[in-house]
Amino acid sequence: MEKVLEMKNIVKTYGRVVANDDISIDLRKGEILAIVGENGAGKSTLMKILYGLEKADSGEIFLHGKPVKITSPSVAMDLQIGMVQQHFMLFGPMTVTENIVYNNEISKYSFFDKKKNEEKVAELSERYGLKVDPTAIVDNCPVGTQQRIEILKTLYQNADIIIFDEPSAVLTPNEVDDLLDTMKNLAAAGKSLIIITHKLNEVMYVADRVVVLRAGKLIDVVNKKDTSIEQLSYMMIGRQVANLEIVEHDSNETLLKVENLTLGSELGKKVLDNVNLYVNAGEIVGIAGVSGNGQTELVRCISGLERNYQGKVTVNGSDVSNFDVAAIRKAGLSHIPEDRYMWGSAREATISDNILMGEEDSIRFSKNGILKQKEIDGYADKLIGEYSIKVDNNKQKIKELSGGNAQKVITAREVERDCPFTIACEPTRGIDIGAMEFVHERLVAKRDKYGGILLVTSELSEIMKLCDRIYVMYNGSINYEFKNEDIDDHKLGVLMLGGKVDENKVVN
Amino acid sequence: MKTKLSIKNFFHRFDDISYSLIAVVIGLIVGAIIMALTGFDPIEGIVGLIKGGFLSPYAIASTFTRATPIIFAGLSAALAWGSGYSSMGAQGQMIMGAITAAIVAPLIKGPAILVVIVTLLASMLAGALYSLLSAYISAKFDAYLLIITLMFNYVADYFASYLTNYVFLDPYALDKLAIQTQLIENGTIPRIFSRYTTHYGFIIALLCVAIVAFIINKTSFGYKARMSGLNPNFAEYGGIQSRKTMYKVLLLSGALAGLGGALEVLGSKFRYVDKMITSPGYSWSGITASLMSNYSAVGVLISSIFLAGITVGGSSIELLMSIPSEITLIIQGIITMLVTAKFVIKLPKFKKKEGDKDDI
Amino acid sequence: MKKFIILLISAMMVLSLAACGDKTGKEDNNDNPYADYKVAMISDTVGTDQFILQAKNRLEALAAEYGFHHTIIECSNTDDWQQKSRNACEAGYDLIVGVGWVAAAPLSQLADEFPDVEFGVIDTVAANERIMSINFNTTDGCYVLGVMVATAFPDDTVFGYIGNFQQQSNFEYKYGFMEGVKSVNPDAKFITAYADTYSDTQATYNKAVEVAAALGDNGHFIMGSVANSANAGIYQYALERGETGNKIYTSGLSVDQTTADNPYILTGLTKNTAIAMETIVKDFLEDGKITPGKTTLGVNEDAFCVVGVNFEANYLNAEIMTKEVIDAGKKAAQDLKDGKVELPYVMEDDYKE
Repeated sequence: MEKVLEMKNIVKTYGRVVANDDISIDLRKGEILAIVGENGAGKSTLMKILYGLEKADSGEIFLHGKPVKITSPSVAMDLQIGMVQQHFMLFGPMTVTENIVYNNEISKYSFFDKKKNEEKVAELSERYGLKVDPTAIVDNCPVGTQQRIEILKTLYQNADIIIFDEPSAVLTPNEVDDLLDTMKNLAAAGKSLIIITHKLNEVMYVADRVVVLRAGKLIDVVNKKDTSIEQLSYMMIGRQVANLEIVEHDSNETLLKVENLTLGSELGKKVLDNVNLYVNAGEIVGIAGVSGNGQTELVRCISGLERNYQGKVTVNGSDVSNFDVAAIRKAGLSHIPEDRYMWGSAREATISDNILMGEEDSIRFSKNGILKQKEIDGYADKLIGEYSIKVDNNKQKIKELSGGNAQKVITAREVERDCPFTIACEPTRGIDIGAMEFVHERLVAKRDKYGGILLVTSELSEIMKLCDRIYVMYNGSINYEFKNEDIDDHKLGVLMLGGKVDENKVVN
Repeated sequence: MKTKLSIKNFFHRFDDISYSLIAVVIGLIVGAIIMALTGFDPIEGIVGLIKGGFLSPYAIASTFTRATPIIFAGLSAALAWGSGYSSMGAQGQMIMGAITAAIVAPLIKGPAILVVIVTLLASMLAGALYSLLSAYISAKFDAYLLIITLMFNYVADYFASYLTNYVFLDPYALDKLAIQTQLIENGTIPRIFSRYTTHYGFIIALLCVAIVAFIINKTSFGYKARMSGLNPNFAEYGGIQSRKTMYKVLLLSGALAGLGGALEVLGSKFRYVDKMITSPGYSWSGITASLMSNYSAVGVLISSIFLAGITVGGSSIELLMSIPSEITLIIQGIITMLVTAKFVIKLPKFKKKEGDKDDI
Repeated sequence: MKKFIILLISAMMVLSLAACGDKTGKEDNNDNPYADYKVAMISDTVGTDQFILQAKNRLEALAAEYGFHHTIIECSNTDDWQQKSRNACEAGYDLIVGVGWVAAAPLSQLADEFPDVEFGVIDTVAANERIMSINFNTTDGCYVLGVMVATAFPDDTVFGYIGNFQQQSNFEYKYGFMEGVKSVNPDAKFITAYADTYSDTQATYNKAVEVAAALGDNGHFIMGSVANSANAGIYQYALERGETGNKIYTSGLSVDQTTADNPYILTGLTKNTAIAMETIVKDFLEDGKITPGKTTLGVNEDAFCVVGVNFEANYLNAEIMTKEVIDAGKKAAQDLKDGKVELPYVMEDDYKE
């Protein structure tokens, strides 16, 4: 089959992290190519290079056999490469037509020709089976429709190659089915598609070939018909074995107990459905799952950021159901949030200020409402020393630190807090190997000091390495619990994607 | 921990201040260009502006007088904006403070010092309550605080107009047709030096700068307010009760504005004259000052004195060189525009940080 | 922050150095004894406001004639008034003339602080007695108006009047008007109302409706002295009412309001600030000092004018403002000038209608 696109020997590094290590792929006309891998495997970077959002350190791109330089998305569009981003780029208050034709509108006497434009959009919509109402206002469209608008936008710009970045992450199951069928239609119509995903059942449904990346390296390119979910997840995760010495504890003291936790969304759909779990002193419990299956909401409920749920949450022996954040923290919870800049820190504030968060009213750091700045700075310096955070002094702002060092500041604050239970969400996302190892060590050290940790992460390797027990979360509920000895990465991969486990047999 | 000093670091540390300085310089340059275009000597004009605003005891004293209400409006805005609450309400709160002072002061009998203290407290209360009311409405109806406070400014202005026109008008004043309240005889704030207009309100302003700086930087309340301003998600995640913090911040911010309005009545005008707060644009200058200083209290002091200085200097060059004093409105307008634009157009980043990627 | 302060201070120092050495000596004088005098006029923004323009133009003409230095200072708010009038004192001006009511408060304050500077105010009375206050004898002018109105409406038995507040300054208008009407029609009755505002046009309009209703068929004229702007409520009502057939007429205030667009404004009262300015400046030029205290100018000095009599009208409603009416007005003004008619100053409480 004709090769429409080739990427050869692409190398891209961010500081010490090699995001793409000499990767070569090709795309054939009319096929759907899936790129799979864990978070941080280098999938997005590769596609950002193709779409002109990032510049490769070295490597070449050939389009229909000719070398091209893609320096920006507009160049990519000129070369008939389109991308459907995970976060839609739409003007909410405008109509569907206006969004689709934006920048290339048909005009009459240099006025916007509403009728002609709408006809054109309707015609496109018809041809590719992408149902939209050209006159609807985008804000009133459901998410699935908004995604179709994004796809129509690329089609309107005559894209031949369309990249889908985690397209199903925001969709409901029915919408996912529609999307996958749409993709097949597009491929049948001669378009060449690339889909980035880590949902393997989708890959098995739509893809013709699968590219597997792991830690920036190309592991293999396989034909869909020659592979299986098990094989793919094995290739994605690799054979990584926990190499930390884990001290066994026998404990009955329960630090976290969640009973029958249910949370509805605005649309009436249950985001969390009757979740039950517990964490004992002296154990690290992992929540495994593809992101978007309710983990974020679970953590928001436990930590008090979300208070409109049904069910019971007990932290450190006290019932904190529907309490606010401050009260739950006081009961004995610390929390490394999943996004270090959005939730975990104030970029414009100093390290000292960031380390103080949550403790500003404690007798240790304030008296009669006046801060004991010396005490605070001393403590900040102590943590900076202990965690070897690379900074000039404690008055530096978080925005001046690298991502890894900022993550260390947050980890230090939460892990070293004087409380028995810690929720750690994505504690190592996007940080380098050295910092990652360090964060892992501190989590284990806390556990060994008889603390309890709930680890929520999309990095399977992290879960495999650290956890004593693992809950698997799928579609808002816990669908399996692994105990220490029977953790099995094959089973885990299947369960995360909604498969079922029947005794020793894995059912897909 | 050694301190590394490099150009990059310097700009990172000082980009907000250097930005404001650049804005000031551009403002003055545009002012000079306009002077040149309208047939005046620009160098002489700018030098005259600075001289007339800062470089004589009379000039600096006049500048301090004019700066006093601006400092209060600026502190009020800095406190609110620095905590993430975009209140434009300083003007309305100042009006409430001023009209309260003009009504309360003549009612109290007793030694002047008592009258002053009671009046100032009453005005602070008026400003604070007015600010709380806008905060409450904004929270209750989930409406933008910015819009609510902006509209509240009009309400205050017309309310004060009504009071002066119909209830507390001084119809027997010799100055016929003046829409103003009765002259305050007992309880005015004296001048520091009888020769110059600067009154003790300026000293109170300096004290307030120190107090606000202390509250923002050294107290746990200030910490909560600051963090809410820098990243409200972070504050929520850390257990700071945003509603409570908002009410406290806006209460304090309103009290400061009310105090500023009262001091303008007791120290400078000695009565409430219709539109005395709106027409000189104290609160807009105050908001500009707070934006220029990135919400630092000491910065507000310096910026307010600067803005007052160019206004005073402007009236001086009008007299000496016949350059229209509106030139200072243009300069201030340019500065306001540039510091406001800072929110939209960030300074170009010097270098992308290593490892600053979430998804690779 | 420290660096910023240092920067600011050093910038100031550089500028102050640059500012040194530009001191120039005063020009060598010539023979003109007035050449050293510096006169400043301070007012609200001049624009096209006749009230201020007249004074400004006269000051400019006088400066050209006598050769003294002069400047015009415009203010857009109360803070400007305080700051700019003070600047003028500091800058060594010898005479500062404030035009309009706003001037009284700031200049009164300055007069105590700057004993070497002379001050004048126009159309207000300053509390400070060092200041020369020029105000207008409104009673005489209103007398002339009253005579004309009574002549124009010989069959009317009732006349209307709307003022701002019940206060002496308003009474001075009403008193003159009543005396003028009664000199022609001794049995005339009056209906008085107060708008209780200086600025609310709608309130004034409402009062006009009330007064017109009270006049009924017995009267067709309402005189208004609310304020320059709020008086418009009466003009508006007269115009609207005119279309119904049962017409109501009125008179203008402050500047000539007569216009073909509103024929119901028959004449009006205006203040001639040019004469007031000339009075102050000439008084000052005599010996470098003004005459402190209140000076009142009126019809006799052509300083307070009646439109159509000693002030050229934009438009005259010829149907009513006949030659007979105008002549009656002119004669009344002449009588006042010649002392044939005298209106003693009366407090409102002592007056019997």
